[in-house]
Amino acid sequence: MSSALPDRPPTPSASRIDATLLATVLAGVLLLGVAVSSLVQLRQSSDERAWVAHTRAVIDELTEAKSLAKALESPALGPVIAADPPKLSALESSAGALRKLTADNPDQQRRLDRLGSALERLHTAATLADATLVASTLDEMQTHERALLAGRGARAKAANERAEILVLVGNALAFALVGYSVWQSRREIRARKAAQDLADEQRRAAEDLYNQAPCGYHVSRSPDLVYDRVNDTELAWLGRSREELIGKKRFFDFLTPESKAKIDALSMADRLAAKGSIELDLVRHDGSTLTVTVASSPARDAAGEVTGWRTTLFDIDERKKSARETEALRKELEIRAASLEEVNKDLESFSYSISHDLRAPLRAIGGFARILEEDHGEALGPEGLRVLGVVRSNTSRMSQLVDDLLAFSRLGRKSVARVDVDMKRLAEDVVEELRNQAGALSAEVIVGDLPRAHADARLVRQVLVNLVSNAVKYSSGKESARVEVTATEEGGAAVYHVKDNGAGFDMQGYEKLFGVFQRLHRHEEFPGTGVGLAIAHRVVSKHGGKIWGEGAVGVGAEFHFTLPKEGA
Amino acid sequence: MSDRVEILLVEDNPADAELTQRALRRNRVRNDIHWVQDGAEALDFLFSEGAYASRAGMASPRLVLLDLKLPKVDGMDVLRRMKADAKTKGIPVVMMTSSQEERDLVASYELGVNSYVVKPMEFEEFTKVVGQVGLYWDLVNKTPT
Repeated sequence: MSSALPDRPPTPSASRIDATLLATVLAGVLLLGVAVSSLVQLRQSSDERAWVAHTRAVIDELTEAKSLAKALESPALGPVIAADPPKLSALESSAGALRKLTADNPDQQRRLDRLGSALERLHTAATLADATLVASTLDEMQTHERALLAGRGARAKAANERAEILVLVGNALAFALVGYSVWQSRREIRARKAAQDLADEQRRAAEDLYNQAPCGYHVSRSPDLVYDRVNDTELAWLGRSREELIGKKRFFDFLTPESKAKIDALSMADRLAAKGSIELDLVRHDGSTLTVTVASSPARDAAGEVTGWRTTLFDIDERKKSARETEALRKELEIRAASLEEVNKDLESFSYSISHDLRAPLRAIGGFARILEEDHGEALGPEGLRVLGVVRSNTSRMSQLVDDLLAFSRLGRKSVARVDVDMKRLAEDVVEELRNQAGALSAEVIVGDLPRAHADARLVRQVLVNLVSNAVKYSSGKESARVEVTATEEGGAAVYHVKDNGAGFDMQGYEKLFGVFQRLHRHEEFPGTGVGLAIAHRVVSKHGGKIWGEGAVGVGAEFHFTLPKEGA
Repeated sequence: MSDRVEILLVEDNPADAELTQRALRRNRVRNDIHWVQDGAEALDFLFSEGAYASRAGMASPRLVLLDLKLPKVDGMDVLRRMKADAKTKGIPVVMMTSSQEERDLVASYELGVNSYVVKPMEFEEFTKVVGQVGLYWDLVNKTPT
């Protein structure tokens, strides 16, 4: 399912309803037609049957008449009968009855005319011709009626059969229709049930959403503004049950006095417009308070009249609490940062002034020791001079240490001014400067392509000076001393390398490598105070980069450091 | 003390003063160096006041080596006063500073100092620098009298 709520069932379309209606109407019409036509057939059948009965009556009468006239044809008996008036009268009355019976049949009437005339003549003179005519006319009539009977009988039968078929068809249709209706209505019922289930599910889902919402919802009824509906969240916030609120309490009843005053001071328009920006305090069941923001909108009926208000509450307690906490933390952080800065400042100025103040006496010691050597060296003698030499060299060393300490502490005070630095150019400058200072470099220095960095140029320069001069210094013993300054890209950051094939160092002492004044070589081997790497480490760290190195005794050393890329 | 003073050395630290004078002498700079120990005395000397009232009318020194931190009147103030007065404005001044920071500080005042020397701690350097200064001014500079 793509949405949170179950999908709506497909509603029967209007055209489908019309089709059903049409089918029903059509079926009805058909049934009616069948009923009517079967009725018609039945009527026809009974009509025919009536005629059949009639015809039989005619035939019966004819048969009787024929029996009466039977002997008429006999030449012997003929004239006897003819001369017998009762017999003739019987024939005449029979003819009269026949005339009535066949009143609808013109053919038979004509025959009866002939018969009548013949009978009349017989009254007067009994001739064979007339007697025969009577008999033959009666025969004709009987044949005719027999034919009619046959016809009518057949038609009656046919009509009956048709009626039977129609009744059968009608019943079948009715059956089919009933079956279809039953099937349709069952389908309807099923569909309706499914729709109902879906609607129920949707309703439950909506209820859940409503109740479990992370904000409070309630509806208050106009005009008294009592609770009409409230969700579980708001109940939990207030610490109350639904029964306590619905129809009994108003939202405003739970506000603190200050919040009530705040709300009362606002007009309705203001309240509506404020949507979510007014903070109110609620009093919970246990007496504690909860801070919320409120947004309301009116609920209207079909006529547009306001029936109540729909309100949403947002718990800003958490928000306020975390804002307070954040503020407290921030203040604490500020204080700490300030005191840290102060401590730093103190420390820096302390080490600065000490280093500074140490210089003057060191100057004096060094200078006067020299005077001693220059002006009174002879009086000292070789041993005296040697001792003096120790004094002088140690003074010199201390001066160097003080200088380095000063430089190191100055570095800590400096803030980093970042620009895009052309590292290749910088490295080349450094090499040039070192060469100028020393007159000539004891090692060959090669500078490769170095990507630009985003850093403080002066500070990075110091790093390069320290690393390269170290590399050169520690290569001084080797024949084909070679120092390489290169760079590679690793994981989106630029890594710079300074490699030498000089004395190297023992990896065992790696921990001391970047320590201030920590050295892995004796002073006699290679001069230096051991602050160069410490300074480099400090600068690189200030830029958020990393510095590390590896070495092998007698083989050489390589130092690597990372700096932010240009434009970073 | 000879009447003609070529170099006025204003330095409160006796050790530094002695080393400086020694360095200048070793580099065969003229002997007529006058040493004062604080800023007030330096100004008295330059303007022929106080104890130096007798100098009125005498030629000004050809070079002033001025330390920065001085008692009574600070080095910067001496410099300011020198540059503010027509009589002393033209005298070349070499500031003797103890550190790069001090050098920067002096430069920021833009008072037209002629040269700086950062007092190094190694005597060799010290000698070289001061010697260079002394020699240079002595040989080349012709102050308008």
